[in-house]
Amino acid sequence: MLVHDSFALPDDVISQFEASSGIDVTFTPVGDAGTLVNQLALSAGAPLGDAVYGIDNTFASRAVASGALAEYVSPGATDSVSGELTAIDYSDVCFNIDLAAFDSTLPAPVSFDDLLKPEYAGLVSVSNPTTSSPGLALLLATYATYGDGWEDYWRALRDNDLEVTAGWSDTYFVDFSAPNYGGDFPIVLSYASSPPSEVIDGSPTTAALLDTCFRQVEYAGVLEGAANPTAAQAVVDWMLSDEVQSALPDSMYVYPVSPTASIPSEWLEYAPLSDQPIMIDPATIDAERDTLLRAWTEIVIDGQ
Amino acid sequence: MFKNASRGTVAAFAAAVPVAFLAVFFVWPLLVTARSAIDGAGIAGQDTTISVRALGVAAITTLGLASAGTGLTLIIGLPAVWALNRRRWRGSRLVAALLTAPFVLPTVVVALAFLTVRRDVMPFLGAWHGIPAIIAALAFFNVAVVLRTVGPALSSLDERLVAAAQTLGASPRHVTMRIIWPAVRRAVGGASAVTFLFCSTSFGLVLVLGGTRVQTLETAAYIELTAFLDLRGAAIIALIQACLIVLVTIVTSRLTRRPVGSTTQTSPVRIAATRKNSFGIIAGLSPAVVLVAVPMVTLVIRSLTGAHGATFASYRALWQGDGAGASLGQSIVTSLWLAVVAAVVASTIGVCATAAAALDPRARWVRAATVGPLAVSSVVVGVALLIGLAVPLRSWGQSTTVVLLIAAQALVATPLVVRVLAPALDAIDPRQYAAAATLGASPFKVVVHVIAPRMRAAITSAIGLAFAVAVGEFGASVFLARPGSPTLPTAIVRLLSKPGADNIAAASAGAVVLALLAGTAMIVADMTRKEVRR
Repeated sequence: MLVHDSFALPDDVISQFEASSGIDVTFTPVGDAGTLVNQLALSAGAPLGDAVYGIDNTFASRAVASGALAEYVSPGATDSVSGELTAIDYSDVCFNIDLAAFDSTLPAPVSFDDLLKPEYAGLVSVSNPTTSSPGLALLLATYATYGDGWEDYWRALRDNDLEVTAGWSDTYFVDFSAPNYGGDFPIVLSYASSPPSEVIDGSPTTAALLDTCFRQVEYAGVLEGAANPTAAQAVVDWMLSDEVQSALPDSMYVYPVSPTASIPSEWLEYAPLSDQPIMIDPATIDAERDTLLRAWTEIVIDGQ
Repeated sequence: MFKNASRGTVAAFAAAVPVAFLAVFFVWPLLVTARSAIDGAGIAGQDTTISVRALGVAAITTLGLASAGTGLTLIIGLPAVWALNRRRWRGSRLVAALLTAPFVLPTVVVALAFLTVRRDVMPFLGAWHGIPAIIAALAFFNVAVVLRTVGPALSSLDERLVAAAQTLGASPRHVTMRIIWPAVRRAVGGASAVTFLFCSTSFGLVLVLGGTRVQTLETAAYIELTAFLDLRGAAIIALIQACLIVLVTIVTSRLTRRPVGSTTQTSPVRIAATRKNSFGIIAGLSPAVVLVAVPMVTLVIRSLTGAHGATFASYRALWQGDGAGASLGQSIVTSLWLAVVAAVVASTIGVCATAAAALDPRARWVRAATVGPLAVSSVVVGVALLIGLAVPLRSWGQSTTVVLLIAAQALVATPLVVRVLAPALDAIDPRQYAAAATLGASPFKVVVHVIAPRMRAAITSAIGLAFAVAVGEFGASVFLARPGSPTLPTAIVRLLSKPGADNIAAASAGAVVLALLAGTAMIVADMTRKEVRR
């Protein structure tokens, strides 16, 4: 199974499946979500594996269009794309804040609009959407929120001294001023599920801004030309089992799609999902993605 | 050596090998790339959306970085050349060897070293999106070019001219401007030209140190493929880069023509350094020594530092997978055998090309043509192989990837092989062939008994050099290597994009291993080459 670089599941969950099904599974990390889909497209017909996990809704239509996927949706699926991709988990990409940086004199921001205010100048770090999937999610979220005004929003954000890194790990682990990292930026792009990891001695040190959330869905599928399609289907089905679904929050910081999976208690307390996440259908994303990315690069990177 | 007819036949057979190789793996892919730049569409059906403006910005950035890199190289390199060569002093050879060593290091190693310096020692290198770090890394590589090119010119300066001028009352400034500068001017011009060329094809450095904020033509081509999957856009950029480099080469080759007359002598008399000179020597050398030593030392320290202090853990961890994928150890093995095969292929092609050129003047163009891949940069080679062969043949599966990786590494290494072999072959006295042939030796026997023994050392040296280049090859390999089985340089760069101190320590350990592999091969190559001279 081809996976993205953030893939992780407990060893005992995997070995349990291997023992009960008689299938040996090798997980091959291919790169971030974007690279994963590009590699699928470049190797369509002669796949690097039998199954894939980690294609998200921002790239789903590219994977479908490339012809790299075989027709299969797991019987237990709650959501699917084009009869080829089975939804496995979801998460909300939102701004996170360092709680210690804000008080009554400098209140915490709430919305996208707030980030344009002069008092938040030089406090925001995001990831480049060309090379990072949460970065792309944020770009899409602003596009959905502002429509044609999205370019002006980014111009204003850029002029408010915005920091842009190549990837989420630089934004979060290097730039974030939360106590665990000690960077210089109290407002960074991350996930609604990030705060539980930053709870120190029972009290949260960070929070997600739930009005800025883009709903990201991750899918699994069987590859066209797979050497062992039956086993590939079994592995996709297994990704929806309660064992895997209940392990997802702790292993990959995402919410399970299965309603019967268990969610850790600190998630219920510190990682609430957005009530009204921003959602765009894959076809719109596919139609606009490249144009948005080019325009974004010209505005934010080239400073036009 | 042979009768004319058989000589021509042997030359034709020898020439056929490099011609076939270049036609299949270089010319054809370039033609396909050119065609897809003109009328191709993306692989998932979409057309290119790259803008002319973005291309312009990338071209200007490429030239701007190359100019800045060349400038810094001269600022740091020229005082070092002066300090090493104007006066004779004990230890100068050792320092020169230390300062020229970086040139053989793979770009990935140097990029990682400067990334570490930026993080741990000198944060200011990270300002303006890491541009200072890129320029410093460019100088790190190319100070060696200045030392190797300008050094001989300066050290063979006829000291009697200087003494005569001083006796006649010339001021130090006058001596510098009227005697020393004319003697080294052409060498400085040549070094600048070569440096500029290397700087404009420094893909790995810009990619790792510039993140996504600094975009040269080469990194733009990479982004087109990895982010947009836009084959046509990448093809267009690759062709612009190829044209730019060929243009730069044409302009610079005019600057580097050999001087007609010179003020140098064959066995120069150099004056020993006095205590008075030592301040100047130290001042001249320190910037270069700092530039070269700090990154390498920092990289080694980093590879020995884990989350909890000093440890060999990251070297031990080289052979443990990260639970999900191939370990760095596996990519070391992959890189080793790919590079060995590529070195043998490159040497075979190099031998055939040089032999053909030596046997028949009409085949000289074949030898010249082997320089082509180097002349258009390794990124262009990688993009062309991807678009011209890998994508059309993708249903052939894994074996195509291996063949293309070997071809890419061999293409990039062959020009250097030819550079080593050509002088060695030219050094064989043609009368020896004639004597052997007169005494009844067949062409085959002449090759085995006359040419082979004299070329053995040169061939060994060429294989070593080719291996060093192949094992560190990044620019072309990154477009071709499969994610499941990366080469060592591509694995190192991928590790860098993962969070965590452990990954950075592992990447550093991998980089140290890579530096040792390339370095050892170069030392072996250098030792056999010196034997050749003796």
